[in-house]
Amino acid sequence: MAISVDSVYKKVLTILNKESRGFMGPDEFQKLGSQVQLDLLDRNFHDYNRAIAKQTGGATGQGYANIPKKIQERIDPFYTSVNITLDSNSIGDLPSYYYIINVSSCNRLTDIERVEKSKLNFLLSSPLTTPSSTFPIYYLSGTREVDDNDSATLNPIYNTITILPNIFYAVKKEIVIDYIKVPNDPIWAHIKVDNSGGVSFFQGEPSSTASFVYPRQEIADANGSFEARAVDFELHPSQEVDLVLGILRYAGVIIRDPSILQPAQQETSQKIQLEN
Amino acid sequence: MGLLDNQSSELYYTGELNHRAKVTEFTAGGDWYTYSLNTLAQPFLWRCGRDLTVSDIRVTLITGNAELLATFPPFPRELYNFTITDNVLNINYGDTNSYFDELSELGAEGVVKIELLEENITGGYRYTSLADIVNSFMVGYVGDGKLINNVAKSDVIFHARRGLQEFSYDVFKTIKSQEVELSPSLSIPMPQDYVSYTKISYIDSNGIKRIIYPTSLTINPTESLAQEEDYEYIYDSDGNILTADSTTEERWEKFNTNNITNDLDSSIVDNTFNNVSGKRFGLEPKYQQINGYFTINERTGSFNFSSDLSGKVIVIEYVSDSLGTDAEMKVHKFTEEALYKHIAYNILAAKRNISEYIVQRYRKERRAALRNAKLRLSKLNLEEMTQIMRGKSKQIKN
Repeated sequence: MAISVDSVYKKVLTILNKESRGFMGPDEFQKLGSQVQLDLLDRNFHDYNRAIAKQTGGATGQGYANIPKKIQERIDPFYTSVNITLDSNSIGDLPSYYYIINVSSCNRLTDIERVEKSKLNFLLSSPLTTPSSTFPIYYLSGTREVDDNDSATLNPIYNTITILPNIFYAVKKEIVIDYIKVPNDPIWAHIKVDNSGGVSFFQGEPSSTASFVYPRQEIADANGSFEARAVDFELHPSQEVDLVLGILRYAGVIIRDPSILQPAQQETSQKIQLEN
Repeated sequence: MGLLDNQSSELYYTGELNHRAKVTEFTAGGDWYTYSLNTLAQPFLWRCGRDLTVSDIRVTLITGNAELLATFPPFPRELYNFTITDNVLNINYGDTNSYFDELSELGAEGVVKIELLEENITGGYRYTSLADIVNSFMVGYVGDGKLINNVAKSDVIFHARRGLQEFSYDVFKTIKSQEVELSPSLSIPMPQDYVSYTKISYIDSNGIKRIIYPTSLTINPTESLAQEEDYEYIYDSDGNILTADSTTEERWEKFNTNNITNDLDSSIVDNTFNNVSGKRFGLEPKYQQINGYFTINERTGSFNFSSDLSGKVIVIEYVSDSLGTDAEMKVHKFTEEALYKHIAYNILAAKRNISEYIVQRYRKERRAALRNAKLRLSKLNLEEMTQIMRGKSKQIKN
């Protein structure tokens, strides 16, 4: 359940070209699309929070009026899990994540709690709050500790997770992280259809004959060549309108045409007002 | 899933779970035979307290082969040379007997009996672990649309542990007791998780519990200062005052408590006593017992006993705070609701923007639940009470 990258591109081009306002190339579209997709994903979190606040105030209904559920469904496609193997210091490397939901161990039977680093010393020093194998805790760090004597660990910059008590987790070694992933960048893969610059959207698995598929990806296939394949937007279909409007807004900024920018902004504002 | 679905009846009642595998089901490789214990290990692993280890299982070889029975007795034969890695049992070819490769010799007729051993403690169903309480609280009381919309789990754990401590002092039944034979030093160290005693007694030759009472006749000084002959205090080279053995304790150890009880030494019953026979007025009832005395020595963290108890078996019943080990952190199911209410009240009381009437509501609910828990745990059984009340009709009681 994703939004077709071709569909969005064509809609954007249609609106942009309606009055011959210019053309947006695939590369430019992909960059803006990626930007807007991230923007919309982030907005979903804030929307969800607002919707929950309204729900708590009794301003939400059931069924189709259950807006928090609707917004939840927008975020859910980005939910994923990964197993992390910890090192002997109970430190693990994180995947590229957008938001961590849960960290657990023992087949999800033990929840690991995230703690504020400012509270860490207090937690560790009090017998009533110190982490145990039953109630473990974790914190995130930007970098792995570097061992100057070990060339393999020189200057690595990782996002790392540290689990406490580390004596227990140095043995357990594996944890599960449930998180919201960073969306994949959209790719409008295309092939040349003529020698005068005409291109056409290319969907499906690139074959060896499709060596002229663009853009090239840094992924080597079995033949060692680089091919591209189309990547759709991963957003929920209900966000397609926002996506098109968002790209148009950025397009307006780029082409500095207020006649594009203003209607897109107005449309977006109206939509936000309507939803809230 | 029911609460009993993770433990088989066999494991509960016998403390063992048997599993038999034919030798042919083992995978041979190198010097080892391997066999997956994943299914067998499930009752151990579902709580994820730890991984399965060698000490958790007993492995026995069984065969009906007459030749083997005659040549390599005894059978069944227990194996010791095995390891467990990631729930896979690895049995060494040679094992303990160099001229007999058990598994290979047994062939298709052989059976390996694997017993999963667990400490056989029955009655655990009465309790709910603190981890379950905390997790259930996070599910049932915390979340969107609830009074507690957001709280750190560490806060819940803190209040749960504090609640457990408080409940241990005045709600839970005292279930901790230590049996120790009193040495000539007349001193027993306090149990490691000791908070306060409820009863100290000695066990007589019939196994009957005789209560020992504390006494204020003597004292255990918290400091016993060393002094010179001229009564000056003695200091070390750093200027710290030195201490010595307590004279008070030394004299109390030598004291014969018969001198303050009715159990008088017949040798001292002279004419003086004869003259007052039957006229022993002014006796303190608290001293009219022959079970002995104890004092609490705060200086050494121990119980000191009177000399007449030397060599006796002493039982110390005491209260702990239930936080000694992870296994201890559990509450009786009668008090589960009270603990939820305790956590909820304490979190709401510490949270800002919570209306006072809500805090008060939870305070009252906590008290009501606590009262309910005490009543439930006090086991007011009609038949037992009736039996006790029958004793009221007796004219003479002791």
